[in-house]
Amino acid sequence: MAPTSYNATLVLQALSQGLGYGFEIMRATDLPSGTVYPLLRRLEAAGQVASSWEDAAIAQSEGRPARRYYRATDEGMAALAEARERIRAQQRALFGDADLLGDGAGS
Amino acid sequence: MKESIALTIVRLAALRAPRGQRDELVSEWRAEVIRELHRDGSWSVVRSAFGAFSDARARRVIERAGRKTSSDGFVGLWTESLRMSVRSLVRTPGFTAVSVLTLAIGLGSSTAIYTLLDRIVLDPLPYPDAERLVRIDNQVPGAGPDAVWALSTAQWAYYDEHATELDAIAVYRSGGGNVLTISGPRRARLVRTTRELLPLLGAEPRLGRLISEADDTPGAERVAVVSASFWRDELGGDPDAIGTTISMDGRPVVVVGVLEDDARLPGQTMARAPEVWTPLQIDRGGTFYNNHVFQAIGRLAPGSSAEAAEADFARLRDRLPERFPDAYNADFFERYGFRTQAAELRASVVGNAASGLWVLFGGVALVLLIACANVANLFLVRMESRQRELSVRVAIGADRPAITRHVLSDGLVLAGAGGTLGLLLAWAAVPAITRAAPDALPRLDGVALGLDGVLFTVVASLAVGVAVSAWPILGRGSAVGQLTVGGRGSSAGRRQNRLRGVLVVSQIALAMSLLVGAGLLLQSVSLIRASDPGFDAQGVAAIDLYATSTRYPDDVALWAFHKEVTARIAALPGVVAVGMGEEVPVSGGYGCTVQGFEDETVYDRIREAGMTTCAGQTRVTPGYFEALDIPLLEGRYLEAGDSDDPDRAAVVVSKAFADRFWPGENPLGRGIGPSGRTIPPYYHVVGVVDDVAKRADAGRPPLSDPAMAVYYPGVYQTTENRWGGWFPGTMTLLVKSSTDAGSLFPAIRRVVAEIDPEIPLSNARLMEDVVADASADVTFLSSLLMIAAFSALLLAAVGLHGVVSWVVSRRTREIGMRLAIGAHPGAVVRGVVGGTMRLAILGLMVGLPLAMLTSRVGEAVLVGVSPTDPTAYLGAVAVVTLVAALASWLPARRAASIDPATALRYD
Repeated sequence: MAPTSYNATLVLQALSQGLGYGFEIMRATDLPSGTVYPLLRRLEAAGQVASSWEDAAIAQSEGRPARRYYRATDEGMAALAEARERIRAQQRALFGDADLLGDGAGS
Repeated sequence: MKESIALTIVRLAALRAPRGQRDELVSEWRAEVIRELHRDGSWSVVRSAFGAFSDARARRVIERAGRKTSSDGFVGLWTESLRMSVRSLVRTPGFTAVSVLTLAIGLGSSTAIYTLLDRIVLDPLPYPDAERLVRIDNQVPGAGPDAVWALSTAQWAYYDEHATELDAIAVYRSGGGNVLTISGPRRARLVRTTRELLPLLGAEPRLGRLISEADDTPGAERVAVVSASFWRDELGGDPDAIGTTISMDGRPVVVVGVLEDDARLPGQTMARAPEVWTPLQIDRGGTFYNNHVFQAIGRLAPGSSAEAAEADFARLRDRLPERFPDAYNADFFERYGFRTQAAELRASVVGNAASGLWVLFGGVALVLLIACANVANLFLVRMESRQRELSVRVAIGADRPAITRHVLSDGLVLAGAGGTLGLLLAWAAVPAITRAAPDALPRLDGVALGLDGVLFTVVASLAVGVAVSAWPILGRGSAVGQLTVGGRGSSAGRRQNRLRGVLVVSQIALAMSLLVGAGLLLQSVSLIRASDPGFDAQGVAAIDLYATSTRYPDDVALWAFHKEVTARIAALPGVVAVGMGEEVPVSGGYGCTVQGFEDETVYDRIREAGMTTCAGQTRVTPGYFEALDIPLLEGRYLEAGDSDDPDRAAVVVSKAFADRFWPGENPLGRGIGPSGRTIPPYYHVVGVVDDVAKRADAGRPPLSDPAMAVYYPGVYQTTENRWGGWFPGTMTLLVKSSTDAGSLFPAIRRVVAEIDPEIPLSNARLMEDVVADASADVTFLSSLLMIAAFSALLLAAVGLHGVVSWVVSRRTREIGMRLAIGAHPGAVVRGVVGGTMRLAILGLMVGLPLAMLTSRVGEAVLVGVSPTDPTAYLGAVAVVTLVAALASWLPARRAASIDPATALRYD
């Protein structure tokens, strides 16, 4: 498996935070739809992302079509962890110890 | 408005998605677009809808990739590769044709020889439990270096009762019997046997039964089991044939069975299958003699082995003197090293042919190797010229496995085509070879390319396919390695050249060892051809004549018959000399019959030398020596008077006989007694004739073994005791003619029929053919190996020529430069040829030890030539050098005639 790209890492990160609809992901990552959707397809084909359709009844009650919801699989989470580690190492090499990604705690 | 624009975009995008995913794509995007417009409502949502095109494309790419990797996988990749290989090979027809043809020659010849090897050597014999059948006979080193004696009745009776390692032993004698048929007298192929033989051979009766225990008892009614073809031809296929009587050697025999299929004795072809089988009726309680005349086949008990059977025989042998004091004594066994052996029947049938065929198979395997080296070389050249195409493949993402697969599939397609063509070649070659094969080659019946052969071709082709394409793939300096690992440096180029050099050197080495083998065999053949059989075969017709004791009860009557036949044939036009004898040079074994000596000192001398007093005892009529032109060394030939007046008791001996028993003494006038007779009156030697060759024992050079013959006249000197049961019924008539000997046979048959219409004649042949047939197997083998060697040489030459041409074409610019600055064309030729010759010399240096090794392996088929005989080696070196020089001289000439101006422009 090829190493997860930066954009894919962003998508996985968004999914891991519970943002599961295509346009939600676009907003969270600031990536265009032409990037996010192909990434979702590739990640899904690679088994790192799974999707499910919203319960039709709920959608109907709200008067709109059912939406497709994406989430990261265990494999996806592992790939994300690996990618984060790699990106962090790259950043350390580039920017010293400044923790740019952070884990919630800013320094 | 925004919604309908966005949804139109999405629907358009969906058209580009795989058919099955269009609806899904639309639903997903529609839900998102509606939701977002509801939340935001800006035009950016409409812009984002264009992302559906990327989604559609991604879906398409993923689906196509999935189809390849998951549904077809390995097979799909290979199908694709092979299809591409076929396409690219068709685009280079020259390369493809040469490679396929080269591989076809290699694969076809090895398949053909493998088929022979498989059918003749490896296949089990066509009998039930064939792997448990053994041939039983006795080794008697004291009687001669390779002396093998058949079983005696005493041995059979005792072993049959006491052997623990065998569950059946059958003894038999195969020969002929005179049968009277509607069309006249005929010699039928007869086997006299104990009742166990037919079941051992898996024979089943079509009508009646096989030989029963009661039939095989002394004094029982004479019965016969006949073959299906005899029943058809001689009994008219009569369904009521059982119980009818046929006349065999003048006596009535009752037919009790007809075989379902013609049963064959081990090694016999269908055409020579016995026609009549009669019981031997050996009397187990009777008197046994030391008469070793019976062929024996045994079946090992389940789980036993030939070694165990031999150990058992050794135990039983020691008891024979006690049980048969008249026939054996312990002293005899010790002195002669007498030992009963059991050999796997298949091995004894196949005999010498096995080593010959293995050698031949080795030869064609070398041809195949050379063909592979040739194609591998062409492959390297091709890879080089395809460098650009392959670079493109690498650039668009082909990794090393993909390129490897591609190259490998090229090799496999070539080998597959070569194998298919080779199969066709083998299919045509196998019948041609079996037709040309001499009778000496066993089990030729029904040898044809079969499933085994096809399987062999498939496996060999696969191996060849991998082998020829391995060169560009393997190693860091390889073409594939360069493409995928790094740029093409000059050191890689040098490695590539070295690889090519290795191929050329190994080709030359292989061709050299094959040539040496062929040369050695050729020497064997010419040695055999040149060896003197001791008589003049030219213009001599031979035919067998079978007189029966029922018509000629004593040898006086027989002699009268023989005398009349020879006299009348002598009167035929063109006939120079006529004679008869029991043994015929080259094809006769002469046997070994004990002789008696008047002079006691002979016995002392023989015992001291550890030899026996047995010799090839044979009866001849006057004219025998003259017809064969056997030179007289001392005294005189036998003449009519010696038989007319038996009291003359004259005998003629061969030089070998005289040398053994009276070395350095005058043999004339010495007294000997036939069949070991040591009471007077003795026969006295009246003449010594030169030696003639006897039939060669297995593994011995033909025409090289002199028969130690002693020639007695036709009529025994005294009336009592006659010949001790020795009735010379079968005599070979030898007629020397000054005209075409073959045309005499009708006249000979007519003369004999006029004298006695019940005497059959058979086995008409020319002595010249007999002599040629004696060496036929060696000649046949060496001619096949010659063909192999020359195809090897040709392939090697073609390969060498190809490589040199390629090298020269690569150096066109450089050579042109040299010529432009004033180099002499001769120097260019010398340079190119010299470079090739360096490779050739290296090849010869590798080939020399290889040739010595292979010749040593093939030593078994060499006759009278040492496997290290320098002539063959020097010859091979000369031929290889010459061919290498020629193969490089042609492209070198081309190089030297390059126009410098053109060459410099050439890139």
